[in-house]
Amino acid sequence: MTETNLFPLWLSLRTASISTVVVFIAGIAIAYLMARRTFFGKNALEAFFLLPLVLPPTVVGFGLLYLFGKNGVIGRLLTYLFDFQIVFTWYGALIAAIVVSFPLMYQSAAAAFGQYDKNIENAAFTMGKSRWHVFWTISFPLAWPGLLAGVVLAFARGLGEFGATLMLAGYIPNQTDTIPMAIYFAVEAGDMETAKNWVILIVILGFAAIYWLNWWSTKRMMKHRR
Amino acid sequence: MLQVSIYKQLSHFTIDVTFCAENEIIALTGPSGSGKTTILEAIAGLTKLDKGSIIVKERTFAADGKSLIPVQRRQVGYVFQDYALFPHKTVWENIAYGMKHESFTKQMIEDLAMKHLINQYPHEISGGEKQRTALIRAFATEPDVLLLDEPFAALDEQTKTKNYEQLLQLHQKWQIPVVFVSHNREEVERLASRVYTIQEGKFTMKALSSEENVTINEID
Repeated sequence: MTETNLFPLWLSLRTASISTVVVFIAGIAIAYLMARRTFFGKNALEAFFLLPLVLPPTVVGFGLLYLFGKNGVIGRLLTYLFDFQIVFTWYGALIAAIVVSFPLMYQSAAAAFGQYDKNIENAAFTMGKSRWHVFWTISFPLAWPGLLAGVVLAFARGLGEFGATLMLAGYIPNQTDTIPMAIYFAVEAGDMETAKNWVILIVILGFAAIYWLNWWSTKRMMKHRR
Repeated sequence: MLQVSIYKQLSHFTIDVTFCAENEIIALTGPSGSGKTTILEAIAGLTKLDKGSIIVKERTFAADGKSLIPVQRRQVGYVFQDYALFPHKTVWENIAYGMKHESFTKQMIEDLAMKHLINQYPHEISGGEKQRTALIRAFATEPDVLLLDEPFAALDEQTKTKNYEQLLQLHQKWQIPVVFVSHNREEVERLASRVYTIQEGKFTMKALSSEENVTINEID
Protein backbone atom coordinates (compact mmCIF):
# COMPACT_ATOMS: atom_id res chain seq x y z
CA MET A 1 0.00 0.00 0.00
CA THR A 2 1.26 3.48 -0.76
CA GLU A 3 1.25 6.29 1.75
CA THR A 4 -1.85 7.88 0.23
CA ASN A 5 -4.07 4.86 0.51
CA LEU A 6 -3.27 4.39 4.22
CA PHE A 7 -5.74 7.21 4.82
CA PRO A 8 -8.66 4.79 5.51
CA LEU A 9 -6.65 3.22 8.35
CA TRP A 10 -5.91 6.62 9.87
CA LEU A 11 -9.52 7.80 9.50
CA SER A 12 -10.97 4.57 10.87
CA LEU A 13 -8.70 4.65 13.92
CA ARG A 14 -9.45 8.33 14.46
CA THR A 15 -13.24 8.00 14.23
CA ALA A 16 -13.32 4.77 16.26
CA SER A 17 -11.08 6.25 18.98
CA ILE A 18 -12.96 9.53 19.33
CA SER A 19 -16.37 7.83 19.18
CA THR A 20 -15.21 5.34 21.83
CA VAL A 21 -14.21 8.17 24.17
CA VAL A 22 -17.58 9.88 23.60
CA VAL A 23 -19.69 6.74 24.10
CA PHE A 24 -17.53 5.67 27.08
CA ILE A 25 -18.37 8.86 28.98
CA ALA A 26 -21.99 9.15 27.79
CA GLY A 27 -22.67 5.41 28.12
CA ILE A 28 -21.36 5.24 31.68
CA ALA A 29 -23.13 8.40 32.84
CA ILE A 30 -26.48 7.43 31.31
CA ALA A 31 -26.28 3.75 32.29
CA TYR A 32 -25.39 4.65 35.91
CA LEU A 33 -28.28 7.08 36.20
CA MET A 34 -30.68 4.62 34.54
CA ALA A 35 -29.53 1.81 36.86
CA ARG A 36 -30.09 3.92 40.00
CA ARG A 37 -33.30 5.76 39.10
CA THR A 38 -36.85 4.72 38.36
CA PHE A 39 -39.10 7.06 36.42
CA PHE A 40 -42.03 7.01 34.05
CA GLY A 41 -41.02 5.96 30.53
CA LYS A 42 -37.69 4.41 31.60
CA ASN A 43 -38.25 1.25 29.56
CA ALA A 44 -39.21 3.24 26.46
CA LEU A 45 -36.10 5.40 26.82
CA GLU A 46 -33.93 2.30 27.21
CA ALA A 47 -35.49 0.76 24.09
CA PHE A 48 -34.72 3.99 22.21
CA PHE A 49 -31.06 3.85 23.30
CA LEU A 50 -30.76 0.26 22.07
CA LEU A 51 -32.60 0.84 18.79
CA PRO A 52 -29.48 1.22 16.61
CA LEU A 53 -28.56 -2.37 17.58
CA VAL A 54 -31.59 -3.84 15.84
CA LEU A 55 -32.23 -1.36 13.04
CA PRO A 56 -30.61 -1.76 9.63
CA PRO A 57 -27.65 0.65 9.35
CA THR A 58 -29.37 2.33 6.41
CA VAL A 59 -32.30 3.23 8.67
CA VAL A 60 -29.91 4.72 11.22
CA GLY A 61 -28.18 6.55 8.36
CA PHE A 62 -31.52 7.82 7.09
CA GLY A 63 -32.42 9.09 10.57
CA LEU A 64 -29.07 10.83 10.92
CA LEU A 65 -29.43 12.37 7.47
CA TYR A 66 -32.85 13.57 8.53
CA LEU A 67 -31.33 15.28 11.58
CA PHE A 68 -27.94 16.40 10.31
CA GLY A 69 -28.65 16.85 6.59
CA LYS A 70 -28.76 20.26 4.90
CA ASN A 71 -32.45 20.55 5.66
CA GLY A 72 -32.36 18.59 8.91
CA VAL A 73 -33.17 20.19 12.26
CA ILE A 74 -29.62 20.08 13.60
CA GLY A 75 -28.01 20.43 10.17
CA ARG A 76 -29.81 23.72 9.50
CA LEU A 77 -28.97 25.00 12.97
CA LEU A 78 -25.26 24.20 12.52
CA THR A 79 -25.20 25.91 9.13
CA TYR A 80 -27.03 28.93 10.50
CA LEU A 81 -24.90 29.28 13.65
CA PHE A 82 -21.46 28.21 12.53
CA ASP A 83 -21.70 27.87 8.76
CA PHE A 84 -20.74 24.24 9.39
CA GLN A 85 -21.85 21.13 7.54
CA ILE A 86 -21.71 17.55 8.78
CA VAL A 87 -22.86 15.68 5.70
CA PHE A 88 -20.01 14.57 3.41
CA THR A 89 -17.34 15.31 6.03
CA TRP A 90 -15.49 12.96 8.39
CA TYR A 91 -17.64 14.35 11.19
CA GLY A 92 -20.48 12.43 9.56
CA ALA A 93 -18.43 9.23 9.92
CA LEU A 94 -17.79 10.15 13.55
CA ILE A 95 -21.46 10.75 14.35
CA ALA A 96 -22.46 7.50 12.64
CA ALA A 97 -19.82 5.61 14.66
CA ILE A 98 -21.02 7.21 17.90
CA VAL A 99 -24.68 6.36 17.25
CA VAL A 100 -24.10 2.73 16.27
CA SER A 101 -21.55 1.99 19.01
CA PHE A 102 -23.42 3.74 21.85
CA PRO A 103 -25.88 0.86 22.47
CA LEU A 104 -23.00 -1.61 22.96
CA MET A 105 -21.33 0.62 25.55
CA TYR A 106 -24.65 1.44 27.20
CA GLN A 107 -25.71 -2.19 27.41
CA SER A 108 -22.36 -3.32 28.83
CA ALA A 109 -22.33 -0.47 31.37
CA ALA A 110 -25.95 -1.05 32.42
CA ALA A 111 -25.19 -4.76 32.99
CA ALA A 112 -21.98 -3.88 34.84
CA PHE A 113 -23.72 -1.45 37.21
CA GLY A 114 -26.57 -3.90 37.77
CA GLN A 115 -24.51 -6.98 38.57
CA TYR A 116 -23.23 -6.17 42.06
CA ASP A 117 -25.23 -5.77 45.27
CA LYS A 118 -26.62 -2.23 45.51
CA ASN A 119 -26.06 -2.37 49.27
CA ILE A 120 -22.32 -2.19 48.62
CA GLU A 121 -22.89 1.41 47.49
CA ASN A 122 -25.41 1.99 50.28
CA ALA A 123 -22.83 0.84 52.82
CA ALA A 124 -20.44 3.46 51.48
CA PHE A 125 -23.14 6.15 51.72
CA THR A 126 -23.81 5.27 55.36
CA MET A 127 -20.10 5.81 55.97
CA GLY A 128 -20.51 9.46 55.06
CA LYS A 129 -19.15 9.41 51.51
CA SER A 130 -20.60 11.55 48.71
CA ARG A 131 -22.20 10.07 45.60
CA TRP A 132 -19.21 11.26 43.52
CA HIS A 133 -16.70 9.67 45.90
CA VAL A 134 -18.67 6.42 46.04
CA PHE A 135 -18.90 6.33 42.26
CA TRP A 136 -15.13 6.55 41.78
CA THR A 137 -14.07 4.35 44.69
CA ILE A 138 -16.80 1.69 44.62
CA SER A 139 -19.13 1.71 41.60
CA PHE A 140 -16.57 2.35 38.87
CA PRO A 141 -13.96 -0.22 40.02
CA LEU A 142 -16.66 -2.87 40.53
CA ALA A 143 -18.16 -2.20 37.12
CA TRP A 144 -14.78 -1.89 35.39
CA PRO A 145 -14.63 -5.38 33.77
CA GLY A 146 -18.04 -4.78 32.16
CA LEU A 147 -17.12 -1.24 31.20
CA LEU A 148 -13.92 -2.42 29.56
CA ALA A 149 -15.88 -5.03 27.59
CA GLY A 150 -18.14 -2.18 26.44
CA VAL A 151 -15.13 -0.11 25.36
CA VAL A 152 -13.67 -2.93 23.27
CA LEU A 153 -17.01 -3.75 21.64
CA ALA A 154 -17.77 -0.06 20.99
CA PHE A 155 -14.32 0.47 19.45
CA ALA A 156 -14.67 -2.61 17.24
CA ARG A 157 -18.17 -1.53 16.17
CA GLY A 158 -16.97 2.00 15.44
CA LEU A 159 -14.13 0.60 13.38
CA GLY A 160 -16.45 -1.57 11.34
CA GLU A 161 -19.26 0.95 10.79
CA PHE A 162 -20.34 1.12 7.15
CA GLY A 163 -24.01 1.64 6.29
CA ALA A 164 -24.86 4.73 8.32
CA THR A 165 -21.44 6.23 7.51
CA LEU A 166 -22.03 5.81 3.79
CA MET A 167 -25.37 7.58 4.02
CA LEU A 168 -24.16 10.45 6.17
CA ALA A 169 -20.55 10.96 5.13
CA GLY A 170 -20.61 9.46 1.65
CA TYR A 171 -17.50 8.17 -0.07
CA ILE A 172 -14.97 10.88 -0.72
CA PRO A 173 -11.44 9.48 -1.11
CA ASN A 174 -9.00 10.89 1.46
CA GLN A 175 -11.83 12.62 3.26
CA THR A 176 -14.51 10.18 4.35
CA ASP A 177 -13.17 6.79 3.29
CA THR A 178 -12.92 4.53 6.33
CA ILE A 179 -11.60 0.95 5.97
CA PRO A 180 -15.07 -0.66 5.41
CA MET A 181 -15.78 2.00 2.81
CA ALA A 182 -12.42 1.45 1.12
CA ILE A 183 -13.16 -2.29 0.95
CA TYR A 184 -16.57 -1.79 -0.65
CA PHE A 185 -15.40 0.68 -3.26
CA ALA A 186 -12.21 -1.28 -4.01
CA VAL A 187 -14.36 -4.35 -4.74
CA GLU A 188 -16.73 -2.27 -6.83
CA ALA A 189 -13.78 -0.98 -8.82
CA GLY A 190 -12.46 -4.54 -9.26
CA ASP A 191 -9.34 -3.84 -7.15
CA MET A 192 -9.49 -7.11 -5.23
CA GLU A 193 -5.88 -6.86 -4.04
CA THR A 194 -6.49 -3.61 -2.13
CA ALA A 195 -9.80 -4.92 -0.80
CA LYS A 196 -8.09 -8.10 0.42
CA ASN A 197 -5.39 -6.15 2.27
CA TRP A 198 -7.98 -4.02 4.07
CA VAL A 199 -10.05 -7.11 4.90
CA ILE A 200 -7.01 -8.84 6.43
CA LEU A 201 -6.17 -5.73 8.45
CA ILE A 202 -9.67 -5.21 9.83
CA VAL A 203 -10.05 -8.93 10.65
CA ILE A 204 -6.76 -8.80 12.57
CA LEU A 205 -7.83 -5.66 14.44
CA GLY A 206 -11.26 -7.10 15.32
CA PHE A 207 -9.85 -10.49 16.29
CA ALA A 208 -7.12 -8.94 18.45
CA ALA A 209 -9.66 -6.78 20.28
CA ILE A 210 -12.00 -9.68 21.08
CA TYR A 211 -9.16 -12.10 21.86
CA TRP A 212 -7.56 -9.65 24.27
CA LEU A 213 -10.92 -9.00 25.93
CA ASN A 214 -11.59 -12.71 26.45
CA TRP A 215 -8.08 -13.30 27.75
CA TRP A 216 -8.30 -10.37 30.11
CA SER A 217 -11.80 -11.33 31.30
CA THR A 218 -10.75 -14.85 32.18
CA LYS A 219 -7.69 -13.59 33.99
CA ARG A 220 -9.13 -10.64 35.89
CA MET A 221 -12.90 -10.66 36.02
CA MET A 222 -13.39 -13.16 38.81
CA LYS A 223 -10.45 -12.01 40.92
CA HIS A 224 -12.35 -10.17 43.63
CA ARG A 225 -15.72 -11.84 43.22
CA ARG A 226 -17.24 -13.83 46.02
CA MET B 1 -31.64 8.14 72.33
CA LEU B 2 -33.48 6.97 69.21
CA GLN B 3 -37.08 7.96 68.49
CA VAL B 4 -38.73 6.42 65.46
CA SER B 5 -42.16 6.89 63.97
CA ILE B 6 -42.48 5.41 60.49
CA TYR B 7 -45.43 5.34 58.14
CA LYS B 8 -44.74 4.02 54.68
CA GLN B 9 -47.00 2.49 52.06
CA LEU B 10 -45.53 -0.64 50.46
CA SER B 11 -47.09 -2.61 47.62
CA HIS B 12 -48.99 -5.10 49.83
CA PHE B 13 -49.24 -3.38 53.21
CA THR B 14 -48.39 -0.25 55.15
CA ILE B 15 -45.58 0.04 57.66
CA ASP B 16 -46.87 1.93 60.68
CA VAL B 17 -44.60 1.65 63.72
CA THR B 18 -43.41 3.80 66.59
CA PHE B 19 -40.64 2.94 69.00
CA CYS B 20 -37.84 4.42 71.08
CA ALA B 21 -34.49 3.11 72.22
CA GLU B 22 -32.03 4.33 74.80
CA ASN B 23 -28.43 3.18 74.53
CA GLU B 24 -29.61 -0.40 74.40
CA ILE B 25 -29.97 -3.23 71.91
CA ILE B 26 -33.48 -3.72 70.61
CA ALA B 27 -34.62 -6.42 68.22
CA LEU B 28 -37.14 -6.46 65.41
CA THR B 29 -38.41 -9.91 64.65
CA GLY B 30 -41.11 -11.34 62.42
CA PRO B 31 -41.68 -13.23 59.19
CA SER B 32 -39.81 -12.44 55.97
CA GLY B 33 -41.28 -9.55 54.03
CA SER B 34 -42.94 -7.96 57.06
CA GLY B 35 -41.08 -4.65 56.69
CA LYS B 36 -38.17 -5.09 59.12
CA THR B 37 -35.41 -4.18 56.66
CA THR B 38 -37.44 -1.22 55.37
CA ILE B 39 -37.53 0.16 58.93
CA LEU B 40 -33.73 -0.04 59.12
CA GLU B 41 -33.42 1.56 55.68
CA ALA B 42 -35.75 4.37 56.73
CA ILE B 43 -33.63 5.09 59.82
CA ALA B 44 -30.47 5.08 57.70
CA GLY B 45 -32.04 7.35 55.06
CA LEU B 46 -31.88 4.76 52.29
CA THR B 47 -35.64 4.84 51.76
CA LYS B 48 -38.16 7.68 52.01
CA LEU B 49 -41.02 7.91 54.48
CA ASP B 50 -44.58 8.84 53.63
CA LYS B 51 -45.16 10.20 57.13
CA GLY B 52 -43.35 10.10 60.42
CA SER B 53 -40.16 11.26 62.03
CA ILE B 54 -36.76 9.91 63.06
CA ILE B 55 -34.73 11.55 65.80
CA VAL B 56 -31.32 10.37 66.94
CA LYS B 57 -29.43 12.10 69.76
CA GLU B 58 -31.54 15.23 69.34
CA ARG B 59 -30.76 15.39 65.62
CA THR B 60 -33.91 15.20 63.50
CA PHE B 61 -33.17 12.94 60.54
CA ALA B 62 -36.70 13.20 59.18
CA ALA B 63 -39.87 15.03 60.16
CA ASP B 64 -43.38 14.95 58.69
CA GLY B 65 -42.15 12.31 56.27
CA LYS B 66 -39.45 14.61 54.84
CA SER B 67 -35.78 13.74 55.05
CA LEU B 68 -33.90 16.59 56.71
CA ILE B 69 -30.48 14.95 56.88
CA PRO B 70 -29.18 12.82 53.97
CA VAL B 71 -27.81 9.31 54.54
CA GLN B 72 -24.21 10.55 54.36
CA ARG B 73 -24.61 12.89 57.33
CA ARG B 74 -26.77 10.73 59.60
CA GLN B 75 -23.83 8.97 61.28
CA VAL B 76 -25.57 5.63 61.15
CA GLY B 77 -23.64 2.38 61.26
CA TYR B 78 -25.26 -0.29 59.10
CA VAL B 79 -24.37 -3.97 58.89
CA PHE B 80 -26.22 -5.35 55.87
CA GLN B 81 -27.59 -8.86 55.64
CA ASP B 82 -24.88 -10.04 53.25
CA TYR B 83 -22.43 -7.63 54.91
CA ALA B 84 -21.98 -5.62 51.67
CA LEU B 85 -18.21 -5.61 52.03
CA PHE B 86 -16.33 -3.94 49.18
CA PRO B 87 -15.05 -7.00 47.27
CA HIS B 88 -12.17 -5.12 45.62
CA LYS B 89 -10.80 -3.76 48.89
CA THR B 90 -8.89 -5.56 51.64
CA VAL B 91 -10.32 -5.99 55.13
CA TRP B 92 -8.31 -2.98 56.30
CA GLU B 93 -9.39 -0.85 53.32
CA ASN B 94 -13.00 -1.81 54.03
CA ILE B 95 -12.69 -0.82 57.67
CA ALA B 96 -10.72 2.37 56.95
CA TYR B 97 -13.16 3.59 54.27
CA GLY B 98 -15.30 5.61 56.68
CA MET B 99 -13.05 5.40 59.75
CA LYS B 100 -12.95 8.37 62.12
CA HIS B 101 -10.02 7.51 64.42
CA GLU B 102 -7.32 5.05 63.48
CA SER B 103 -6.24 4.21 67.04
CA PHE B 104 -9.80 3.40 68.15
CA THR B 105 -10.31 1.26 65.04
CA LYS B 106 -7.04 -0.61 65.46
CA GLN B 107 -7.94 -1.36 69.06
CA MET B 108 -11.25 -2.85 67.88
CA ILE B 109 -9.39 -4.99 65.33
CA GLU B 110 -7.14 -6.28 68.11
CA ASP B 111 -10.05 -6.88 70.48
CA LEU B 112 -11.90 -8.93 67.86
CA ALA B 113 -8.75 -10.85 66.89
CA MET B 114 -8.85 -9.69 63.27
CA LYS B 115 -5.33 -8.28 62.99
CA HIS B 116 -3.95 -11.21 60.99
CA LEU B 117 -6.66 -10.76 58.35
CA ILE B 118 -6.35 -7.09 57.51
CA ASN B 119 -4.55 -7.65 54.22
CA GLN B 120 -6.97 -10.33 53.01
CA TYR B 121 -9.78 -9.69 50.54
CA PRO B 122 -13.39 -10.46 51.54
CA HIS B 123 -13.51 -13.56 49.33
CA GLU B 124 -10.50 -14.95 51.20
CA ILE B 125 -12.07 -14.88 54.70
CA SER B 126 -14.83 -16.93 56.38
CA GLY B 127 -18.45 -15.87 56.95
CA GLY B 128 -17.82 -15.12 60.62
CA GLU B 129 -14.79 -13.01 59.76
CA LYS B 130 -16.78 -11.14 57.13
CA GLN B 131 -19.44 -10.41 59.73
CA ARG B 132 -16.83 -9.11 62.17
CA THR B 133 -15.26 -6.98 59.43
CA ALA B 134 -18.67 -5.45 58.70
CA LEU B 135 -19.24 -4.84 62.40
CA ILE B 136 -15.86 -3.16 62.93
CA ARG B 137 -16.38 -1.17 59.71
CA ALA B 138 -19.69 0.12 61.05
CA PHE B 139 -18.27 0.95 64.50
CA ALA B 140 -15.19 2.60 62.96
CA THR B 141 -17.42 5.40 61.66
CA GLU B 142 -18.28 6.06 65.33
CA PRO B 143 -22.00 6.10 64.65
CA ASP B 144 -24.79 7.54 66.78
CA VAL B 145 -26.96 4.49 66.10
CA LEU B 146 -26.14 1.01 64.82
CA LEU B 147 -28.44 -0.98 62.53
CA LEU B 148 -27.91 -4.70 61.99
CA ASP B 149 -29.89 -6.64 59.39
CA GLU B 150 -29.84 -10.35 60.29
CA PRO B 151 -26.13 -10.10 61.00
CA PHE B 152 -25.75 -13.65 62.31
CA ALA B 153 -28.08 -15.50 59.94
CA ALA B 154 -25.37 -17.04 57.77
CA LEU B 155 -23.11 -18.19 60.61
CA ASP B 156 -22.71 -21.60 62.27
CA GLU B 157 -23.65 -21.97 65.96
CA GLN B 158 -20.12 -21.74 67.32
CA THR B 159 -19.27 -18.62 65.33
CA LYS B 160 -22.61 -17.09 66.26
CA THR B 161 -21.93 -17.46 69.98
CA LYS B 162 -18.49 -15.90 69.56
CA ASN B 163 -19.84 -13.01 67.51
CA TYR B 164 -22.72 -12.36 69.98
CA GLU B 165 -20.12 -11.84 72.66
CA GLN B 166 -18.14 -9.54 70.43
CA LEU B 167 -21.17 -7.42 69.61
CA LEU B 168 -21.96 -7.11 73.33
CA GLN B 169 -18.31 -6.28 73.99
CA LEU B 170 -18.33 -3.49 71.38
CA HIS B 171 -21.69 -2.19 72.60
CA GLN B 172 -20.36 -2.11 76.15
CA LYS B 173 -17.57 0.19 74.99
CA TRP B 174 -19.59 2.25 72.55
CA GLN B 175 -22.91 2.93 74.25
CA ILE B 176 -25.36 3.72 71.43
CA PRO B 177 -28.83 2.52 70.43
CA VAL B 178 -28.61 -0.69 68.38
CA VAL B 179 -31.53 -1.94 66.32
CA PHE B 180 -31.16 -5.42 64.95
CA VAL B 181 -33.36 -7.60 62.79
CA SER B 182 -33.42 -11.31 63.50
CA HIS B 183 -35.43 -14.48 63.00
CA ASN B 184 -33.60 -16.34 65.72
CA ARG B 185 -35.37 -16.40 69.11
CA GLU B 186 -32.29 -17.45 71.08
CA GLU B 187 -30.25 -14.66 69.52
CA VAL B 188 -32.94 -12.10 70.27
CA GLU B 189 -33.26 -13.17 73.91
CA ARG B 190 -29.53 -13.19 74.40
CA LEU B 191 -28.78 -9.80 72.91
CA ALA B 192 -31.84 -7.58 73.06
CA SER B 193 -33.25 -5.67 76.00
CA ARG B 194 -36.52 -5.27 74.10
CA VAL B 195 -38.05 -7.21 71.25
CA TYR B 196 -40.68 -6.03 68.79
CA THR B 197 -42.52 -8.59 66.70
CA ILE B 198 -43.69 -7.20 63.39
CA GLN B 199 -46.23 -8.55 60.95
CA GLU B 200 -47.25 -6.83 57.73
CA GLY B 201 -45.76 -3.55 58.88
CA LYS B 202 -47.34 -3.41 62.38
CA PHE B 203 -45.98 -4.38 65.77
CA THR B 204 -47.99 -7.27 67.15
CA MET B 205 -46.00 -8.09 70.26
CA LYS B 206 -43.52 -6.36 72.47
CA ALA B 207 -41.33 -8.55 74.66
CA LEU B 208 -39.50 -7.05 77.59
CA SER B 209 -36.61 -9.20 78.58
CA SER B 210 -34.46 -9.05 81.65
CA GLU B 211 -31.72 -11.31 82.84
CA GLU B 212 -34.13 -13.54 84.74
CA ASN B 213 -37.22 -13.77 82.60
CA VAL B 214 -38.94 -12.79 79.42
CA THR B 215 -42.44 -11.39 79.44
CA ILE B 216 -44.53 -11.03 76.36
CA ASN B 217 -46.99 -8.16 76.21
CA GLU B 218 -49.74 -7.89 73.66
CA ILE B 219 -49.73 -4.48 72.08
CA ASP B 220 -53.07 -2.71 71.90
